[in-house]
Amino acid sequence: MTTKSRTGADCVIEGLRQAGTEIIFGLPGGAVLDMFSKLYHAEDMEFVLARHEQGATHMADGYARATGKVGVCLVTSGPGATNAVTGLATAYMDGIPMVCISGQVPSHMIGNDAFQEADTTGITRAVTKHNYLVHSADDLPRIIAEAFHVASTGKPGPVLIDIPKDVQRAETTAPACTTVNLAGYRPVSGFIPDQVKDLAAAINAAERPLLYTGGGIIAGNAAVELTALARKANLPVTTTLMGLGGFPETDSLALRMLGMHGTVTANRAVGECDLLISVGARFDDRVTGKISEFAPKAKKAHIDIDPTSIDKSVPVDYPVVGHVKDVLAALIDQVEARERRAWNDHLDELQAQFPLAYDESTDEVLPQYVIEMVYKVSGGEALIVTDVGQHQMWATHFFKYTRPRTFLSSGGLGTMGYGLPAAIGAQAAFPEKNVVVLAGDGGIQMCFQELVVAVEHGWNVNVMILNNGHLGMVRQWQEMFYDKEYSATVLKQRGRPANEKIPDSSRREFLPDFVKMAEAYGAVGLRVTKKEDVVPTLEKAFSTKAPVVVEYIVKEEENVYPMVPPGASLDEMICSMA
Amino acid sequence: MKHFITLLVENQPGVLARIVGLISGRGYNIETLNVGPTDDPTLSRMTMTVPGDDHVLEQVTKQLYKLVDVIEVTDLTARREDAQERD
Ligand SMILES: Cc1ncc(C[n+]2csc(CCOP(=O)(O)OP(=O)(O)O)c2C)c(N)n1
Ligand SMILES: [Mg+2]
Repeated sequence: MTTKSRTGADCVIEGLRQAGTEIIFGLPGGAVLDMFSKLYHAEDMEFVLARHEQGATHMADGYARATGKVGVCLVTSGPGATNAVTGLATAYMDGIPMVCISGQVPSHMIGNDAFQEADTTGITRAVTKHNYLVHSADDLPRIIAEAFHVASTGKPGPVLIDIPKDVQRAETTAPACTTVNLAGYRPVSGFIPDQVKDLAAAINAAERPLLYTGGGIIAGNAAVELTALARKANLPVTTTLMGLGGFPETDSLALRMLGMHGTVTANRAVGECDLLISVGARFDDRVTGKISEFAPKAKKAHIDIDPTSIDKSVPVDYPVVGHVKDVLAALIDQVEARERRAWNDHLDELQAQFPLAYDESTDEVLPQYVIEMVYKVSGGEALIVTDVGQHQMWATHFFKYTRPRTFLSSGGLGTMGYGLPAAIGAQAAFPEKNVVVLAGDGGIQMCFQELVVAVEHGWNVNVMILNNGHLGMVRQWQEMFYDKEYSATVLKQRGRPANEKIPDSSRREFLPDFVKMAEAYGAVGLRVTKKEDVVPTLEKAFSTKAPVVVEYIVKEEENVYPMVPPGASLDEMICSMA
Repeated sequence: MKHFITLLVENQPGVLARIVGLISGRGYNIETLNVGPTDDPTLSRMTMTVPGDDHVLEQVTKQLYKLVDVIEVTDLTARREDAQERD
């Protein structure tokens, strides 16, 4: 059978369609005009015009996290590709499936410092799971199919395909690619039964076991199995930032998040447990604190699809390589339904003794209060997307996540600017859901321009800006570890440090005016300065059929507690400044 | 300690950069490096020596294996030691 001749650009559209692509986020330029000209006629695929390529990549990422499907973005050569790097790195660190297609200057000009040339595969090598520079249109059907396969299997991640302009225009008769065959890429399938058997025996023998679960539960769609396992054997569960939503935080076995800003109970449980079972988590330094003192009394088990993740930072007694869903299903059959009354009661007592708390009596608007009210007013049903900073940590404390893919946050890279565009990507997938962005006054400015995308598509995101006048999280570190010297962390117009040479004046205290900015983009802008206005404003925002931005002027020097100082062990938690 | 690592890789542009980048990006120096053809023209054989901490190089070897273009990775260090002990 011969295949009809068509161009490389046609092959790209064909490949995207074959992979089930419904939506593409991006921004054009000279080097991708051929693909955009084909997209113009591809009405089965929605194109979302971002206003900055970083925004496009975060949208694709948010879409992927919310749906579990591969997020797709399309950017031009040179600056388009370099702008996409932050979004690729964000997705890479968190294992998010994404395919990014970039244009490249014509093959014969590569290496000549041509206009808008960048060594895109060189630049993105360290922030992608794999990347391609395409040399011939004949290879395109295969490469597109491979890219989706690599992005979505094993530990997922972003894949970039760099396509020179002449390759997009060249004719090819290469057939569509239906089977991927990569000699060097064999993602784990199945598991070794003996490894699971040994772990099950260890769980059955343990008096104080603890499940420590991460993003692998979400990526592996294993929340149901995790919950069944925990309940059958009465195993308490603590989750990482990436794992939130993988186990219902309303369950009595939930100890909530562990690590630097984890709960006292979760971190104490790590210190006291006799068996720590890591499931799809990677012993990240923000989780473990001082690694040599992490879970000192415990035998350690690690279930992961990525063999390189096992034994990476912590030596493990019970390694299990496999898909978490399959391994957990096998464990459910092999663990005994047994009570662990003493251990469970002890942890319940700790939870009662050390609840996550803030000053509820104050008249000031506390950021924690706002988030708790988001939880109450939304009935816990919102899809929360955070930016990065203090508000992100409070979002883990004062909203309880009960289902996977309802908490989206840049965990590994900690990318400020992530929240709004990622929320737009999630809202694109689920236009009817209540998607709420929790952001700070700093990070929201990094991708604010994408608000117009929400407005023009009628995607009614609710953007909550917790304005504390500072780059709050960095300010907190300066308060605690740098003698309160607020170097470069004041965003307000008064009280700036001398070295910035910004005179106090009669300017507005807060710039920019977020309400006016929202209005300038065609969204609804609201401001809250009084505690009693928090709930009514949320009710109004959630019932408004338009994107809404609410700026809360919150207490400035509020800190996130508990906190494990960087490099300290988890039992050295600071619970307040006093 | 010195590690002798041999790899079977796809014979494609960019593969060498990917491998060297992974090793140098972690602060390790490649002491010797040899790349040659195999009977299969689509594959190349690479051999290199990298001095460094055992635990970390074990990680590096695993990471190399994860690269899509890398088909086989063998750390020959242990075998060479055995041979030396027998000498
Ligand atoms: C792109 C980027 N630059 C710098 C940082 C370092 N950083 C981490 S948190 C933070 C402050 C964030 O301030 P804001 O958005 O106002 O949130 P807040 O902590 O006040 O809630 C900074 C600068 C980062 N995470 N990302
Ligand atoms: Mg702030």
